[in-house]
Formats: sequence, structure tokens, C-alpha cells
Amino acid sequence: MTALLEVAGISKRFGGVTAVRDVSFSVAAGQIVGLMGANGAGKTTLFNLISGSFSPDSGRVLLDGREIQGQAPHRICRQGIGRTYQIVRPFPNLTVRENVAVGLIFGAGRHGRADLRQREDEILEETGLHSLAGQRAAELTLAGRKRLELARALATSPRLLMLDEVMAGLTPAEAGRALEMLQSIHARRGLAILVVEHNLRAMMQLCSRVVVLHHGEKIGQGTPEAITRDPAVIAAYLGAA
Amino acid sequence: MSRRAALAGGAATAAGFAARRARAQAGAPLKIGYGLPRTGYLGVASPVAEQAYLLWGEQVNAAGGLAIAGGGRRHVQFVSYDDQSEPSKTAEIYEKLISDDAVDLLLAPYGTPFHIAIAPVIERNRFPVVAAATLSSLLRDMHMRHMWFPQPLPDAYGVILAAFLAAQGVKSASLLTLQLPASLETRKYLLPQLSSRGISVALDQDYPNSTADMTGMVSAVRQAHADAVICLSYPQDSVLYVGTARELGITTPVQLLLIGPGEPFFVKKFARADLEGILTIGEWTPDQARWPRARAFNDAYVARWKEPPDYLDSTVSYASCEILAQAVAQVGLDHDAITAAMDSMAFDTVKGPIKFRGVENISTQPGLLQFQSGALQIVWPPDIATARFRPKTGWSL
Amino acid sequence: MTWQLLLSACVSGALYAVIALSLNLIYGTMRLLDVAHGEFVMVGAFAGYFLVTLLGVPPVLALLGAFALNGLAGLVLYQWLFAGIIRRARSTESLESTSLLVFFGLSVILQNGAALAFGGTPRAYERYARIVHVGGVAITGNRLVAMAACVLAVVAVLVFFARSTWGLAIRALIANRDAAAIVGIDTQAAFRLTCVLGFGLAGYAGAVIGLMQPVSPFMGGQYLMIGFVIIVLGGVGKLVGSVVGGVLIALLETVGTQLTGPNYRDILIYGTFIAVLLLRPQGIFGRHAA
Ligand SMILES: Nc1ncnc2c1ncn2[C@@H]1O[C@H](COP(=O)(O)OP(=O)(O)O)[C@@H](O)[C@H]1O
Ligand SMILES: [Mg+2]
Repeated sequence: MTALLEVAGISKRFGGVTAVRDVSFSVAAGQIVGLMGANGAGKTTLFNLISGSFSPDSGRVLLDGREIQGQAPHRICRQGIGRTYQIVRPFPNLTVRENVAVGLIFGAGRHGRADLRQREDEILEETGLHSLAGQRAAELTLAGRKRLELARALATSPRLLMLDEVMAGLTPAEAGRALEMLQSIHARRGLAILVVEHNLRAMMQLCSRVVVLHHGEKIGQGTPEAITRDPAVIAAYLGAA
Repeated sequence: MSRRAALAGGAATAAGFAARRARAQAGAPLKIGYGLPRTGYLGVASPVAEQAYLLWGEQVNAAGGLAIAGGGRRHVQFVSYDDQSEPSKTAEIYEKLISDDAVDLLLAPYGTPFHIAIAPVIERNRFPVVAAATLSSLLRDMHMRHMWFPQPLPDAYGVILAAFLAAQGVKSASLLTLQLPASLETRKYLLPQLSSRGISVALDQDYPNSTADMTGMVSAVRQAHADAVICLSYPQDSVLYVGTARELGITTPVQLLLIGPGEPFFVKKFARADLEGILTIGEWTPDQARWPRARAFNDAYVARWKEPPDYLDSTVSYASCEILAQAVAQVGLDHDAITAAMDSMAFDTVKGPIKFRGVENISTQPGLLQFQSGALQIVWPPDIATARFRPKTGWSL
Repeated sequence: MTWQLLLSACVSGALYAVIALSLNLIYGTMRLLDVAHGEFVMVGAFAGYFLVTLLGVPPVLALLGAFALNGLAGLVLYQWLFAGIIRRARSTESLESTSLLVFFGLSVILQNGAALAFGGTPRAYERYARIVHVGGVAITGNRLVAMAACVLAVVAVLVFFARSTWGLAIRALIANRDAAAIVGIDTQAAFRLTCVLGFGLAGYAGAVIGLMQPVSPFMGGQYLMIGFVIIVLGGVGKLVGSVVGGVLIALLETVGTQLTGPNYRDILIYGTFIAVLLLRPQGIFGRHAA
């Protein structure tokens, strides 16, 4: 059985900096995989390579066994990969509802206008944004915008959802709610999630497997428990923290 | 540069001079230079002048070339550049025409600032130029010795305009003045003439070139209730004035626009009933029977360019070519001889006879034109008039 | 008299709104600094003029013809020129400066090309010349038609952007190009559509001007200036802002100069422009970037 997502020997250089070097890993359908690493380790770059924002210098990205690397971002989205940005980028001049609608209409679901309203409501409920539906995205708090970022990604009907530090900057209470929300979304939709998070406890609760990056290279992978005991990981990452 | 290269360069230049002279003697084409604004803000206005130059050149060549005193005929060849509506470029262009292109004769640039810009160049080179499309007394007052003005100047229009208004029994006038040279100068000379004839100025408003809506100004004209409206405008705002005056129902019997009504597009823009009675400055129409060549010029121009000539700029530009040609036929290509001929000769042009005293044309009487039955007629002064003035009777509905 | 002034302001305001809207689409969506916009307006004016005078097309249809011709030209230019510029740009700033040069070149080519092809002299035609009375205010028919045409175009564009799927996509794109792409919007297709709409509308505006005023190869400059002033007033990428800004500038130009004097036109317009730049750089209706 082929994995949902397979990243094979992927590399990306920016001038003299090699942001991602020969990284390989896979995500099975319905699985939650964590991606860890210190700041600058190459996690966001990896997301950009998978979502099509950048083309890799070498290596392949396979979705259902088909190569997608180098395709335009909107094509990759329509094949079922949704993502959030570490630095949130909702459409500030659109209402919360419109932000969600964009994902529904143009994403992998390609939903027509027929039951648009109902689907918008579903996603708004799911992400706890229903009471803010009519507000412009620019008026939301950071926590609200992070949730909207998630809602918009969900609206594209992804089979693989990539979350880039959706809990960073939130208060512990907000982060706790976000964690519950992710768990319930995963339970309900059964989608695969690739999640970048610094919060170790959250990673332990969410992920069945963790991939660790260091200076662009993969230095380990395994269950969260195994990873926290891996000497290489401890030396490179946990030890440094 | 090495000494040898410098010598070689000098030799090449000398050879160039020799070749140029030989070519001239062998009856090579006569080079006539000019610079005009083909682009920039005047690009829209200058074609009526250039088309007159080009028509004249084609006619001369069709007739076997330009007659030169004591030297048979030579074809003319124009050397021209775009000054991009920048006077400083014009000065450079005329400098280049004289020194690099070594033209035999020069035609005028377009517009007052451009005539002013070339003044030092032609005075320094003692190069005679017959001015054309400029409406300014400034230049005459610069005491130039190598430029002559066939077009009557704003002070002359000020005099006859006031005389005309007085003859129509006008007691008060509203004045709208565009802030560009020809308009401002005309206003300057008109105001004392009006006061000396006892005509009061009910409204005296100037406006910038960027004006895109005249509703406010024309409303003020309506409230001023003067006997005459004098709009010292350029083509764009002449169109604005007519449209707005019509909407606001300005029924003043005397309504004059400075520049615009003589341009070919103007008659296409408005219904005949709306053009009817509008006055403008000018003393030329194709129908002036006393100037037999006027009609022939008009018809040749229409045949060549598929549009009528501009009554001011096209005719004076063409006349400037004729003046130069007649001087050359009389005295040859020597610049000092041409300069002397300008003083002594009388010229016969499509604008009628022209004679200069100093740099000023003392033969052409400045006049006023009026739209009557779709065509411009000379209505003032009486001795060159082709029709009598008719008060404007309002607008079509 | 006040009503007369207000009606005049509405006529120019509606026209300015269309021009600013079209420029804002090009600049706000693609960040192409279209300094040839006045020349696109001019091309539309000539298209309208020739459709009416040579082919005898009714002027209202000629407006649509000018839209179609200019829109097609915009599409071709996108494929052939703009797409590459956008793809190669490293940042918004570099895109703006490269496109500034490219459009400057285009404006020179279009202006000189038109002067060569059609001659530099103004051309004009006369249609809908009857005076119409609107509640005691007299207005020439062509100005009324022009205003109606502009209001229709503005409403159509605003409804398109508020209601249609692609309108939503372009609004999202204006807000954030990368984010639009990762939620499945085909940015290339959206840019193509924007070019058709933006340049098409510029042509439409030009043909509207031809209804009222003479057209010439050099007519574009003033509309470019007005367009940019309005965009700054209303906010980059703010379509409704462009409409309100257009009407505001027209009011300054018509009613403002009536209250102060014709010579204050430029002071009023550019004074407001500079004041807004200093006090509210995000535009009167813009909010601080989120
Ligand atoms: N667009 C870019 N241009 C140049 N360098 C970049 C770019 N994006 C990321 N980098 C560099 O790549 C490295 C990895 O960055 P990033 O992927 O953002 O790390 P992380 O998300 O793990 O913190 C860093 O050195 C960063 O400076
Ligand atoms: Mg990151």
C-alpha cells in the first residue's frame, strides 16, 4: 500500500544556505505526523516544497504515488493538500465566512454554490468561528486569525492538512482548546495531518510519529516517546533548548 | 586620441565639407529643417502646421523644385525632429540643424515658447526664419533681427476686438482667460482697449490648463449678464465652453473663443445650429475672393490631408514657406541677402499680400471670423469682411 | 445652479470612478504600476471613435466594442509580457519598478503609434447632442449617456466582485497572492481575467470620453494622474474606495472650484492627495494592514 504523502530525497537551497537537504519521510492516510526542529531547521521550507510554493532543487514529492513536485500551488491544493501559514495570512478584507467560502469553492472539494452556505456553517461550527462569521478577518484577534487560517485550510477539503505552528503565540488556555479542536477534527474527518509545533506536550498527545529536522537534515524519526530518548535528537534539539 | 587619428579625423571632416559643397553645386536637394512637437502636450496641436509644410514641399517638388535666383530649380528635402513639446529641446534641434545637418533653410517651430527658445540660436547664426504659429507680442519686443511675424500679434487683436465690440454696442463683457501665453497676452492688450472704449468688464476670470469642467465658470458668466462673452481659450477648453454654455443656455449675442473654432475637428463636434454665431480670431477663409490663392490652397490641403486646414496655424505656416520661397527666388540662398529681402520685398501669400516693417507684418489686417451656416466667414473689419456679423441667437435644443 | 454643479460632478465622478477602478484592478491585483493606463484609455477612445464614425456602430455599442478590443489587448499583453514580469519578480518592490519601466515604454509606444497611425490632430463626433432637462437642470444628452454608462459599469463591476465566484477569487488575490494560491485559486487565470476587466474598462472609459470630448493620441496623461490620485485616496486594492474617491475628486473639481475659484483646482486635488498621503497613507477608506 502506498503512503498518502511520500517525500523522497528532497533538497532546497537559497543562495549559500541549504534549507532542506535530502529529506525523506512519508505520511499514511489518516495518520498524524509531527515535524520538529529548532528555528531555522527547515520545517516551513519543507511545507512550501510540499504545497508548491517552492520547487525543490532535487527529490520528489508523491501524493498517492503520483509526483506533484514543481506543480503550481493551486493544483496541489486541488489534489488534496491544505495548509496554514506560520505567519497567518487570512484575506483581511474578506469576512470570516468569505474566507471559508474561497477554500470551499476553489479547493479540492470544488463545491458549487448550491449547498455552500451549509458547508460554510459546518466549518465555522467546527472551528468555533460561527459567531464571528460576518466580521472582516482583519478585525479578529490573533487566536481568531489562527483559527480562521485552520478553517480556510479545512474548507479546501484536504486529505492531508499541514499545520505550521498553529498554537504558537496562544495562551495556554487557547492552546489547549486548539489541541482539542484538532483532535476532534481528526476524529470526525479522518484526514492525515502533518503538524509543526514546538509544544512537546501537544506533540505527544497528537502524533503517532515524529520527524526531527536539524539544519535542514532529517536526524531522526519515531514515536514521540522514542524521539525524546534519541541521543542524536537530544543533542541537536532538546539539549539546545 | 593619437595624432594620426586626429589628422585622419580632420581630413574626414574636410572631405565631408568638400562633398557637401559638391553636392550643393550639383543641384542636390535643398535641405530645409524644422523641429515640431510631435509628442507631449502640443503633439495634438502641431500637425495642422506640419501638414502645411509637407504640402508646400510636395507642391514645390511637383513643380520641378524651388526656384533659386540665378541657379535654376532644386528639389526640397525636409530634415525634421520632434521637440517633445519642450522648448529647450527645440533650441538644441535648431542648433543641430544648422551645424550638423547644415540645412540651407529653416522653417519655424510651433508655439510661442518654442519661437522664443530658438531666438538666440538663429540670432547668433544670423539665420533667417519666418515665424509661423505663434501669437505673441513678446517676440517682436525682443528686437530680433532674423525672425519675422506674418501672423498679426495679440495687441493688434486687442485693438480690433474692442473696436468690433464697440461697433456692436456692447457695454460690458465677461472675460474667461486660459493661463497659457497667447490667452494671457491677448487679455493684457484687450483690457486697456476695452476701458478706453468705455466697455466695462463684468467678469474677469482666469483658469488653469488642467480645467476639465467649466460649469462653475460659465454659471458665473450667466450671472454677470454682460453683453459679450470673450473666452480666451485653446481648443480643448473651447469645446468645454460650447458644451457648457449650451447646457446653461448662455444667450449672449456676442460669444468669442480665441483658438479652436478654426480647427477641423471643431465643426464635427457640434451641430451646425450650435456653431452658428460663434466668433473667433482670424482673417483667413477660403472664400476671401480678394486672395485668389486661398481657395486653391484650401482645396489642395483638403485633397492631401482629408481634412480642412486650420484657419490660423495651417495658413500662416504655409504662408511662411511662401515668403521664404519668394525671397529665395529673388536673392538666392545667401542668408544675409534673404534677411535684407525680408525688409524690402512685398510677398504674395495664401493669406493675401504681406509686407514687413521691422519684423512685423504691416499688410495683413487682423480680423474676426464667425460661423455662419456651417462655415467661417470674416465679419470684421468691414473692408476685408466676407459677411456681416450676426448676433448669436442661442443654441439648439 | 447647485444642482447643475452636482450633476456635472456626477458625470465626471462616474467617469473617474471607472478609470480608477480599472487602474486599481491592474495595480491592486497584480502590482503592475501601469503608467500607460492613460494610453489604454486613449486606445479605447480611438476604438470607440472609429467604430462610430467608420462602421456606423451606435455609440453605446461602441463602448462595449472598445471594452472587448482593449480587454483582448490586455489578455494578449498578459500572456506575452506581464506574466513573465510577474513570474520573474523577486519582490513586490522589484515588480513595481520593473513594471514601471515596461509600462513607461508601452505608453511611449502607444502614444507615438497612435500619432503615426491616426495623426496627432484631435477627432470628434457628435451624437446624443440634444439637451435633456433633469428636474430643472439642463444637460447634453451625450453627458447623460456617458454618466449612465459609467454608473452601469461601476455597478456591474462591484456586483461582480461582491457576488461572483471569480470576483471573490480576485478579492482574495488582492489581499494575499500566496494564500490565494494555496487555497486552490488559479492565480494565472485570475490575472488573465483581471487584465481583461482592467484594460477592458480603461477602453470603455476612453470610449465614454469620446462621447463627450475630442479624442487625440495625447489625451491620456490627465486621466492617469486622476486615476492614481483616486487610488491613493480610496486605498490600493479597495474597489469601493475607488468609486467613492472618484466622486470625491469630481466634487472637489466642480463644486470645490466653484466655492474657491478655478485656479484652486490643482491645489484642491493634489492638496487632498498629499494630505491623505501624509495623514492616512492607507487611503481614506483603507484600514491599517492586518
Ligand atoms: N524564501 C527564502 N529565501 C531565503 N532563505 C530562506 C527562505 N525561506 C527560508 N530560508 C532559510 O532557510 C532556512 C530554513 O528556514 P525555515 O524553513 O523557515 O525554518 P523553520 O520553519 O524550521 O524555522 C533558514 O536559514 C532560512 O533563513
Ligand atoms: Mg517556520
